[in-house]
Amino acid sequence: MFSTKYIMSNGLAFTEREEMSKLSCYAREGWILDGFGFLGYKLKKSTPQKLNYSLDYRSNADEDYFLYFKEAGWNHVCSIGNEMHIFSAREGIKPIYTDEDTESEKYISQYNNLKKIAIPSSIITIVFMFIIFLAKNNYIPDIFRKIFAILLLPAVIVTVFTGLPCLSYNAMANKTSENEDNFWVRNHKSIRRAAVFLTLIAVVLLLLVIFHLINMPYFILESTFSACFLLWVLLALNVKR
Amino acid sequence: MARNNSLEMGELTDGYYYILLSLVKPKHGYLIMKSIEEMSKGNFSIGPASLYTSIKKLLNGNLIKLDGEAEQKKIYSITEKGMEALKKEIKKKREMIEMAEKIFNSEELL
Repeated sequence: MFSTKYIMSNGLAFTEREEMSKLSCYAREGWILDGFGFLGYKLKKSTPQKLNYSLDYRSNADEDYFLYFKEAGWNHVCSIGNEMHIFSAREGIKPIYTDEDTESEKYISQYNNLKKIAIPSSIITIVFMFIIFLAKNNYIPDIFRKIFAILLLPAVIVTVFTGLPCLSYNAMANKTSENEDNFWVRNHKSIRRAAVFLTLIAVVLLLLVIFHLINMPYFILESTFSACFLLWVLLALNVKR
Repeated sequence: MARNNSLEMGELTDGYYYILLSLVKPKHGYLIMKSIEEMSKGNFSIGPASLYTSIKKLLNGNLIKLDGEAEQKKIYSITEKGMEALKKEIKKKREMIEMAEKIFNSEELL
C-alpha cells in the first residue's frame, strides 16, 4: 500500500471552500494533509480524523501569527512562501475568522497584490492585440503581426492567471457569507467542468492549426477562446466565500 | 458593502471593543483571545486570523501600541486615543441601554 497520495487543486482563488472541505473528507478517510505538492496537495496515510481545514493569506507572517493559531487550537500544516498558510483543527474549534470585516480584509490584500500584475498585463495584452489588428489590416508591415502574435501568448497567459484570481478575490472581498444565490453560484461545479472542457478543446484546436494539421477559419478559434474567457470571467465573478 | 472600514469611521465593532478592553492592561497578543473569552463568559470569541488582522488595524489607527517584546512574543497596550474611543463607545452603549430601559419601564415590561 502506498502511504502518500497527491491530489490536484482546482485553484484556491476560485474554490477555496470546496478544497478545504475536500481535505476534511480525505482526513475522515485517514488521508491527512502533509503539505503542498505540485499543483495540489500531498496527503499521508494515518488514522482517520475529523478535521477542519482553513486557509489564510498573510505575507511575512511572524511568530506571533502562528502562536495565535496554536493558542486557538489550530495547527499549522503548511505554507507557500510565507504567503499562504493552511491550518487544521479538530471539529468544534471556532473558525479562524469571526467577523466579516477582517475576513474581507483577507481577500482585499490578495486582490491588491495581484492587481499590480493583472492590470499592467491586461493593458499590454490589449495593446498587442491592437497592433496585430493593425498589421492584419495592412496599416503597418506584416512582420509586426508575427512578432506580436508570439509576444501575445505569454502576455495572455500572465493576464489570465493573475486577472481571473484577481476578479475572484474582488468578488469574495465584497461578498458576505449570506451570498446571493444565483444560477452561477449554484451550478459552479458543473459550469467549471464545462469551462475546463471547452478550454481544452480550444487549446487542442489551436495546436492543430499551429502545426498545420487542420485548416479552419481563424474566427472559429477566436470565438472559442472568447467564449472560454467569458465563462471563466463569469465563474470568477460568482465565487462563494 | 463589506469594504467599509468601521475603524476609520470611528466605529468599534464588537471585536475591536473587546480587544481594547482586554488591553487596558498590557498583554501578550496571544493572551487576548483567552481574556476575551473569560471577560464575556464564553459569549464572545475572536478567531486567530481575525485577531491578528484586528491588531494590525488597531496599531495602524494608533488605538493600541507595541509595548515591547518578551521571548519574541509581542506585548500590546491601549493608547490614549484608544482609551478615548473605548469611552466614547461605552457612553454610546450606556445611552442605548438607558433608552431601552426607559421605554421598557414606562410600559412596565421590566
